[in-house]
Amino acid sequence: MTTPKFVPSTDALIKKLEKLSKLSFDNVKLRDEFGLILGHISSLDEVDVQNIKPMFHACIEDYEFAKDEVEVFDSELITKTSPYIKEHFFCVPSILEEEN
Amino acid sequence: MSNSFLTASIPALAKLLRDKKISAKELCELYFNRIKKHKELNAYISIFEKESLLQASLLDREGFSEKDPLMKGIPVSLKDLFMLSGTRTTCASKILENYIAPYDATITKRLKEKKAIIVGKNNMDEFAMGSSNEYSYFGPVKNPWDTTRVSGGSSGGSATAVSAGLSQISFGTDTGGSVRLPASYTGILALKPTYGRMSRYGVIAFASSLDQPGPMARNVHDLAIAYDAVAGFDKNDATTSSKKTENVYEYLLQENKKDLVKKTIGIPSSFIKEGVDKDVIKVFEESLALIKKIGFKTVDIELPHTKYALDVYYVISPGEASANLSRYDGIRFGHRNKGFKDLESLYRGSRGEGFGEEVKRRIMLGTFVLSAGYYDAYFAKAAKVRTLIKTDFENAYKKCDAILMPVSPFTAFKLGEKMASPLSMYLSDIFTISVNLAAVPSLAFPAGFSSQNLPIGMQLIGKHFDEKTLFGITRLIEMEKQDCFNRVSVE
Amino acid sequence: MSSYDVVIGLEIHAQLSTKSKMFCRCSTLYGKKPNTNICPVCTGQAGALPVLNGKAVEYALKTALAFNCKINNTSVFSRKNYFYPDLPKGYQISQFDEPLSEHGYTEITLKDGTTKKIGITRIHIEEDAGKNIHDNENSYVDLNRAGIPLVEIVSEPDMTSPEEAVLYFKKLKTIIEYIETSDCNMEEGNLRCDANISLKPSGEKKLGTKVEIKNLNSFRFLEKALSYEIERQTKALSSKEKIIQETRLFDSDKGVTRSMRKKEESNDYRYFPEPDLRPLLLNESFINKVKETLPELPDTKIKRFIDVYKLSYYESDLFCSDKMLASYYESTVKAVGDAKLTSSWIQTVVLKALNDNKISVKDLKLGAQALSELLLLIKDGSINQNTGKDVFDEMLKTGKPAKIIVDEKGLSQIHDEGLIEKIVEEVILEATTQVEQYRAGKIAVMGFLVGMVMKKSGGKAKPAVVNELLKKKLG
Repeated sequence: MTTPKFVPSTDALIKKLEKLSKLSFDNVKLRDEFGLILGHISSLDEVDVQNIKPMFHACIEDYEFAKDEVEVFDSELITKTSPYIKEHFFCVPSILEEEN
Repeated sequence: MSNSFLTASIPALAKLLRDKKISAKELCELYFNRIKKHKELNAYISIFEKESLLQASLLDREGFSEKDPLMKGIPVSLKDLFMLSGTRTTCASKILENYIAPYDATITKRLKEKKAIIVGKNNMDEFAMGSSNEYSYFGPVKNPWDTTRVSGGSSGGSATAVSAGLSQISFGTDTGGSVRLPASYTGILALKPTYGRMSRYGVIAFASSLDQPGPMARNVHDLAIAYDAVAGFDKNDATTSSKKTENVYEYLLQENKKDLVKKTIGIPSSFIKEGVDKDVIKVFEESLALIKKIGFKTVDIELPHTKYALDVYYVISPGEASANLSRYDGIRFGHRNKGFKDLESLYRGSRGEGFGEEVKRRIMLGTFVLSAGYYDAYFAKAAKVRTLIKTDFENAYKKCDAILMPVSPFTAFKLGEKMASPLSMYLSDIFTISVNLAAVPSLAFPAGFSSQNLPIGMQLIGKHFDEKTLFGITRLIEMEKQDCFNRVSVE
Repeated sequence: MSSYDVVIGLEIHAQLSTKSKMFCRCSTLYGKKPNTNICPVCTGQAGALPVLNGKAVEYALKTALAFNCKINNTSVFSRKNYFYPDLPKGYQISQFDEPLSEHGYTEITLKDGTTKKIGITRIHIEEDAGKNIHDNENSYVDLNRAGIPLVEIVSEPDMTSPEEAVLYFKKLKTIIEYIETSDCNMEEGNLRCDANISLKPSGEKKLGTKVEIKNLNSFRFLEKALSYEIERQTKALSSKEKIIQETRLFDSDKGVTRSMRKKEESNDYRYFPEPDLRPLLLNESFINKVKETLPELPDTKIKRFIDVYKLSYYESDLFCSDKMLASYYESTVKAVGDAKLTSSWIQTVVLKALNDNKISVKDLKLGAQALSELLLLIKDGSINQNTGKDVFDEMLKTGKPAKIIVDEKGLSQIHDEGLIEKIVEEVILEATTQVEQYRAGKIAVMGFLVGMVMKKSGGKAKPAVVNELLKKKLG
């Protein structure tokens, strides 16, 4: 295994990732390790993949569609165990934009 | 009830139950006493003593006959990411600490149909992300062979439970080695089936195109029976294969050794040399010698792209995981932070408080490799290299029927030893990861011990949907080298 | 003031009318109590997995074929990642770079009678999100709608006016109603429209900044919103202001578009192929099988009605706007054998009845069979048109067939010429003023005299005969 190089991550990049993943990565340790890992996976750069199809699915034989028939699930198994139900709705703080 | 029953295989127990030499309740009590006795191993997050004993009593009243499934009355544990309706399913995470499963996983359902007794949910690495089971919200799992060391992960609780005789069999999941690695560190067997063989419905997802549930046991017959009980097509999981599953246990009973040894075992020598413990190499060579002694031919094979497997894995699995974990947002279930002032702070607070460090690290990485400007260079590229890795195996299988390799380059390390560097932790998986990427099956079995008396496991990697061959070969090994198999690691 | 070219494209989402959802078997029925048509899959519970509804695929394929799209034998589902309370998994399963179909088109007929081709960039399948409602403090999420199958129909930016956009949207709705892959009920949210509009200086090739207007769910709102946008953008551009690329909403009360509260910068959706669903493989035989289920589409039907029944474009278009109405017309003509008579009756009497009762053809209890019986009675002279209208109303009210009503009420036209002649002579004797006026050359008075005879005969005289007799006797 080659020694991984460190790829520094910019503040802007981290901020963007935080926004997209709804997390905070203020922890410096987290950022440092991220840079180390990035350096490591950059070894993929050297692989020649011309004309190679990507493998996004692990099992691709023929299959059957599901039939369009209703099967009732007891919705209370979900709503009665959720701590966030208020009068049959999932209650969240106000969403600012208008909806359909 | 004596501990000697712990080394009885499932068929033997089934006979004892039929002959009324033992009762299901006694068997259950044996296990629960041991679970309580060995609490410090931290193999369980939840146990269901009352319910299990009640169920066992009912089964005793029903009686046991030859027509019953072999799993009837057998104490089974499940990694805590299998949905078990009405009970806490935590995934070893604070974010699901009090999550009550609203439905059964298909595997859970099939075990219930076979009347197995689900005694509890095993500890694991949070969201299956880890190789040592030190990333659990409920504390690390200890290796029963040496409690200052890790059990391996992410199915560490499952492995320890089986190894220490705290359940007869367990089901874990394997995404990059997560049943095989802890099996190797704790001296038991584990199977990562071909992708598509086992249903993932109701199994909390880590990396969708890599995850596969797998049975863990102390001997080959138990492993086969556990596999037979749940394998096969599921209409609720669109990635399961409709290929018919053969009953492996029956195959093992009938199998004629003469036919099996006609198969060839491939040895990827060049890959193994780098950075591997000398004890691991020694046990590998002993296994190789044993294989030859049994009568197998061996052949050298190359897996030229497996040196990129780790990198491909650490692009694809976090990518898929980052999306799979978006549903844990504090909106409908799971942990929600207090004192949020708006939606954004609800999201950030719930997820921030709920996820551990390693999980956040992987979400960060996953979000990065999928993001605009980086997707082609990382995620799409890794998927192409994955094709090359898969092709390596397909090419190798033109020359052989199964591949023998160590499970891990080292044995169970000390608790805390690798926590300072996640990268060093990731290196535990170098031998296991390519298997998941290629979607092929692999069976890990106990092959020997290190100079410090720590278990060392080997794995047999097979062709797609050829689990049968792996079981057959391992059974022959088991018959030759009984001292490694069917052991309980603690009193 | 320099003039601007308007460039409009529409993105329409239609809910497919399957019984169950796209990836789970929950019911799609509208109007149920919140969070009752749900299950682990459509609420994004831990461990849940999607399974593809074959009917949804069939309906989506049928829709793509109806719009002349090229079908991709292999298409792939993708995850579109973003956080929103009505999106339970934190991603929507949609299609991105390998959609079900592309490069289609449809035609609209402009006011001047010319046709214009509107390109369709792509039609793909995806799942719907849940619904949010709000009060002053909180928002409330109902996931009944989450997971309902949608087709997304993206047009090329080929429309150049709000009128064209409305024509396109209307055409789309008609075609989808014909192929019955969606209920197209805009009030229930089955059909939703987003518009993209930009302006560029006349003749310039480079497109202007695109503004998106969301949720224009009626033809009127679409037209008004686009008209307002043209006005707003023209004003801005003329004052050398820059148009901001943004998403706006239409305020139907004030008739203006407003900027949506900024959702930070444009979202990076991080699309990647959905690993839980295999690529969608559609072979030619399956595609052909679905193609064979396509009914005669509106454009073809309109042309055929013009050719075969010699209708005007207006009439043909009117009848063919509703497949059931077209079928109603056609069945009636086949039984009656008079295309013009049927056409005039449907335009005046039937459509008026539908309007007055606020129903559509499918709810009309007076079927084509019943109508044709009535029209045959008119055609063979048993009753006249006016009586016919009364009989029609009675048929609607009582559900009785035409013949029975005519007999029961004794409405048959009087054929006995002798009887009519008697009444004509009576009228000539009574209406001396009008008779004189007629003889003096005021021909228009004939109408009054005919009317008098009709009245005296209780409306049962045959008007043509009355006319003839009067003319004969008055010289």
